[in-house]
Amino acid sequence: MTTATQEPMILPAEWRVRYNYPVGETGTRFFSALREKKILATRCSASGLSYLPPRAYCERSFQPCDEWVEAGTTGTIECATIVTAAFENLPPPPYAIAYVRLDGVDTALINFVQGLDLSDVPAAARRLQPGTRVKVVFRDQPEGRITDFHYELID
Amino acid sequence: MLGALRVATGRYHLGLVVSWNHTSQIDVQDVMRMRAEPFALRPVGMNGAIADALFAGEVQRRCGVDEDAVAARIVQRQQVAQRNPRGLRRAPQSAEAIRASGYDAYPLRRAHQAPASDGCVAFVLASGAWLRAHPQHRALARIAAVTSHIDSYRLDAGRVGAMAGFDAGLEDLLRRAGRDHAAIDVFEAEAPTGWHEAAIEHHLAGRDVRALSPSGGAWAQHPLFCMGLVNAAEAALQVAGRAGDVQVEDVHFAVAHGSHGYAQQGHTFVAFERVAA
Amino acid sequence: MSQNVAVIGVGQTGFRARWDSMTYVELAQQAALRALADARLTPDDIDAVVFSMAPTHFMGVADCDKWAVDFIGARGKPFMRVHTGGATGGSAFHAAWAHVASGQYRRVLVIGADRITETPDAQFVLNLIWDPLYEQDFALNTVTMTALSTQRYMARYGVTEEQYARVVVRARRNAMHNPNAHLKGEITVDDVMNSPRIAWPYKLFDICPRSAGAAAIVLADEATAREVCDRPAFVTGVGAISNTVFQGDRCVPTADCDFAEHAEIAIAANECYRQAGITNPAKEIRVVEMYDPFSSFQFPELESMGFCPRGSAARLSDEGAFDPDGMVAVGPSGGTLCTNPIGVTGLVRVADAALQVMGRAGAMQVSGVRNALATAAGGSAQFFACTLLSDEPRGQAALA
Repeated sequence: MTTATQEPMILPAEWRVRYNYPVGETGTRFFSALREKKILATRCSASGLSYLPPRAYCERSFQPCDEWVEAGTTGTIECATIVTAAFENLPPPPYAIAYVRLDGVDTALINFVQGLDLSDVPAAARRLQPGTRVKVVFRDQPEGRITDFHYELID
Repeated sequence: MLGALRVATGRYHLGLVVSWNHTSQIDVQDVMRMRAEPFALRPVGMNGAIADALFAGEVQRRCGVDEDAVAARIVQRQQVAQRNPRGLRRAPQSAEAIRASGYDAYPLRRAHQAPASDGCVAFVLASGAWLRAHPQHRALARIAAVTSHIDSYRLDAGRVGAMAGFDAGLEDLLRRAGRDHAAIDVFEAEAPTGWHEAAIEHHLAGRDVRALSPSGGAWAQHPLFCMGLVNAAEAALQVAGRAGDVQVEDVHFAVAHGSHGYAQQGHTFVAFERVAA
Repeated sequence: MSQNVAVIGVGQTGFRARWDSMTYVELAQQAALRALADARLTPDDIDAVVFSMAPTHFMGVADCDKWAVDFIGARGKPFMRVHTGGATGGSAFHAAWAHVASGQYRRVLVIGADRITETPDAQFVLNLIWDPLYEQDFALNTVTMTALSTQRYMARYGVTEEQYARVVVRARRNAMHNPNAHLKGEITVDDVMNSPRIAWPYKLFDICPRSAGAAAIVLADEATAREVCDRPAFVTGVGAISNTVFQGDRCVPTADCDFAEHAEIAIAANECYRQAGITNPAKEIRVVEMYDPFSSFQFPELESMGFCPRGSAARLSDEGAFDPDGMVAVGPSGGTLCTNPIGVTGLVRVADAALQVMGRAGAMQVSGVRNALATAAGGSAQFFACTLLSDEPRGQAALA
């Protein structure tokens, strides 16, 4: 056994990886609809459940989802938070995110909540309590990505 | 293996074992490169293909196999693979085309390596007690034994190509199955290159193996990290008499092999027995 | 039909921010050597090894379990690695249990090591858990994920940030008796409330540290355990459950389990109780070593696991019910709030619970421990593993 007589060394390295994720048929229909400012959910007629994000199969009945449902443009916050710390490679704070159950759909979809004054975090948090109603706002030129829309409080 | 052990505890009666491989456009070898420890291996650029090349060199030396033999073996396996209804049914290459492909790292040529494919495989496992309680369900095959063995991480000549884990693991498996010297009707081997298959056949020489990889192995399909389970599916189908165009006659006992790590550091085995009608 | 299985040896390194004097595999080696010495066995006595490791992106070597083989005495042995995110240590322990309970292997080493400090990009790595098409853009990571479910629980039951802060105070104080714990000390509720805000309602002190270290446990069949160990800890309950990665399915009226309640853990815990014949967890289980990387985990999980009625845990916590001398000692080791080496944390929880049952928890020892429960949680709070340890094998109900 050797005893340490020197400062332990550190070896630097880096790894850069790129990906191309296949979106699949279900996802392709969903993202295409976003370009038309529509949010489409899949629905399983066996269980009656509708899903956002859209799923090819119902996770309750394990049957294929056989219908598409257009989600409402308003919804209810199920949970939310305001991020105030700067995480590497994530958006600069502060920002709010929420899971919102859009009208007509059983499951909740996450997105940013914008248009809220976040300078007093506890006060802002009170305005994002579960049950709060929000509306969907699309960007002018949707690109077929989940960030094409965000939520805003209904005043 | 873990699925079988769990059912064997008596606590679980129905299990689902699933594996899938869906490589996007990522460079597989760059991912394999990250498996190299950062101090001595990664600086020389070790990755899966290069480790396989070291393996191939050792197979050449230890088993007396040369490139011509490897090319001929691949052609034959591809012909078998083309008949597998579960495979990609690619047309076989010629031995000339294989020999003409460039070296990735000597002596491993590009065409020595079965190309990766996307795929998935799943098993439903059931305990004997569950089957007896549900006689309308029938077993395809009985799992007689499972085991695994891992070798040293090192890539020196003493380890690479020696396949000590393969030999010890197979011996362990057969002992657990109570079939130390029995004939193996089908052996579905994980052999990502023709060199691997040559080595495995060499290490099976002392045993009575009737058919080696009748599925066509990785040349039929090669979802990279599911091969062990794909081989298990092929072996189970053989025992059940449901392997279709690649069915071997009268299969009672089949072994499936899976491997992992640089130059097959680890080996996992499952033994299947025919179930009485 | 299952073989009885017992813990006969435990090894842990100290847990700290950095272990720069050792490579990753040397760290794992330390835990292996300690566990083997504790079990009074040699590497040759071990029949199989299970390696506990979650994402390898933190320490930066893919499949690091393979690199560790030679260092932990696994060469030439049956070997597998288990990975269920944060629940990994618990799941790896369950896999090792299955090796012995099946009757196929008699003495199994389950071991892991983790450290986060090789990369500064840890939360970016954790963000990769979430679906790349629908969820990664929203800065979901383990902090924001649990902030969301905590906000929902607080709104439902009127819990305050101060009540969570008291959980942190208790954990850090307990950890002072744990020589291996990473964070420890006397702090106040104000210290927690004044620490930097991260994602509402969390402040820095509500969140676990990133810890480096290793742990290992030796499991054996009953015959070996009775032969080599004075007071083995028998594995009397093994329960685990998984749910969908999509949290949006789990915070809605049609959810089968509400993620604010960590309701899935009820299923895993009840399976342990059924196997061990436990009918009153609060009375029969003296210690819970919980996977609680955030101050908000204890309340919903203790409720879901049947220690107290829904919505009552915060008040009970304030009243001292979860102190070491309370109704049930929760995290006498300081728990995961004080020490989180992600890939191995669940194993450390089992190790700490086992030591309590074995009467070898030192300054952390709670009196009269016959049963101790260890939990592990992972993924998008979608994997839960519960392990019950007892001083004797307990009745095993026939499987339904």
